[in-house]
Amino acid sequence: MNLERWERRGAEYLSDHLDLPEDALLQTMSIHLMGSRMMIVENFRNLLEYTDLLIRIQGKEGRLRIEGRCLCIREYHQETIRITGYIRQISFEQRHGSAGKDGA
Amino acid sequence: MNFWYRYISGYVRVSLEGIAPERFLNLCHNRGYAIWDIQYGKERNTCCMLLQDFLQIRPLARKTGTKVRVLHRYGAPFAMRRHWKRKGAILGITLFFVLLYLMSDHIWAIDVEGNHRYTEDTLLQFVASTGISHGMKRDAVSCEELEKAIRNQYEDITWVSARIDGTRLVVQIKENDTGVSVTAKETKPADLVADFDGRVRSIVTRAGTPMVHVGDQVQKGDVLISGLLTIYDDGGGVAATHEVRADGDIVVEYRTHYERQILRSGSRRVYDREAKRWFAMFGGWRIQLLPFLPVGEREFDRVEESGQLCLLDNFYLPVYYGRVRQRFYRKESFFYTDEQLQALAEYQIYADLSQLENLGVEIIQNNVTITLRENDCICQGELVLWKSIGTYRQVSVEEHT
Repeated sequence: MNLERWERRGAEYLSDHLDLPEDALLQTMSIHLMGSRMMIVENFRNLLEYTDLLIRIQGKEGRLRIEGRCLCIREYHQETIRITGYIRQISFEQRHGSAGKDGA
Repeated sequence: MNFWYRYISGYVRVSLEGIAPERFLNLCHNRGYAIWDIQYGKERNTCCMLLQDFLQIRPLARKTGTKVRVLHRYGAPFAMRRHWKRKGAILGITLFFVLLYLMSDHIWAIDVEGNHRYTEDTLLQFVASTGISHGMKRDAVSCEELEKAIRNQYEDITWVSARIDGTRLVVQIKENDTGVSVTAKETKPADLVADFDGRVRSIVTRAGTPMVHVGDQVQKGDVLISGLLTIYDDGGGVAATHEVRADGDIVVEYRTHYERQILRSGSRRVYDREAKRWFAMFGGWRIQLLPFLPVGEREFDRVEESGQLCLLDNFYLPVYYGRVRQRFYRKESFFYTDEQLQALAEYQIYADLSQLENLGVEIIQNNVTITLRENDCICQGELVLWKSIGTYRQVSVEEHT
């Protein structure tokens, strides 16, 4: 097991047993969806691609793919990115491997 | 980051042209530059960023090959630059608000509430004597000390509350209603003596010994009801004497002469024109919006009405405003005809007699006649009046023996 897996397992253990927030410990992307018109993403790294039909965001362990139309990035801060528009599909692209559709 | 912070700092809307605008955005994001409202366009993207961040993005734009062009400027720095020619107006507005803020820390009005017996001027003069005056700072006013001073100075005032509302000092008082002004009923022995000449019309004795009868002529100072009660024994001798406070109602009839002269002609003021002007006063400076036109030799009355400027309910300011009116008049001579003079005389007589009745006098007979003459009118005659008389005087034994 590499060091990253040990870190991950330790963080999961602490969040389960000490009731601590998982996204802060594991540094995973946190997504808040309000209907299909607004979305807030936290704990991301970079913006990979931006058009009015597709937005791709890089997280620590994967990539987030947002498809829709009239997509607009309302705020692009250090910790959060707020996306508005008509969101049609959200999916995750794993770090090693093909895209997996986990989203709406 | 809220709207006001962005507006005060100033921000710009820029267009991003290049093959990889995302890379430029990521570099800005990594440096902590706030970017918002990113919109996609076919040829170029647009976004907003703070002015202070925009001034530092040149190396990033060069690195990523992105052409950054300013589309629009927003915020206070740009507004000030646009309106720099009007800096006087902006300075004036700013100074106005600064002065307003500074003046709100002082007392500009002092009001008294709840007073009945003591006039407002009396209480305000006392407040001024304690060192509290218009224009002093609110922190320098001690309401507790003022309340204590008023309670010590005026025994009739049973409750005092001083508070500061805005720029107004309000002093509320409650006076003693049952108090000092109502004297206890006198019980000291006293005679009831006449304070007016006349013929006794009626006498009702409630306490004491009556010394006069109906029809007697009394002079001022005569004893009407004596405070000495003499008790006689069976043999007619004086068994005992008691001193009481005489009490009773005595009505006398008297005659008085009435005379009044009314002139047939004279001059009176006829107001024909009025000029009004608004004015404002601040401290010792007075500004009238428009001056009055020269009046020449016209005569006029000058009436001034003013009030103090008050914003909201209790925010008084040391600014007074009002209106000055010049009422121009001309002197016009008048001449009454006989009918007019007669009517005027009758009205005057009626007014005088009504005044007498208000003083508690009953008019039994009115023999006043009106005589019209060339230049005037004479109203004269005799009045027969009934009046209640009697005033108290200490019992004097010698007077009754």
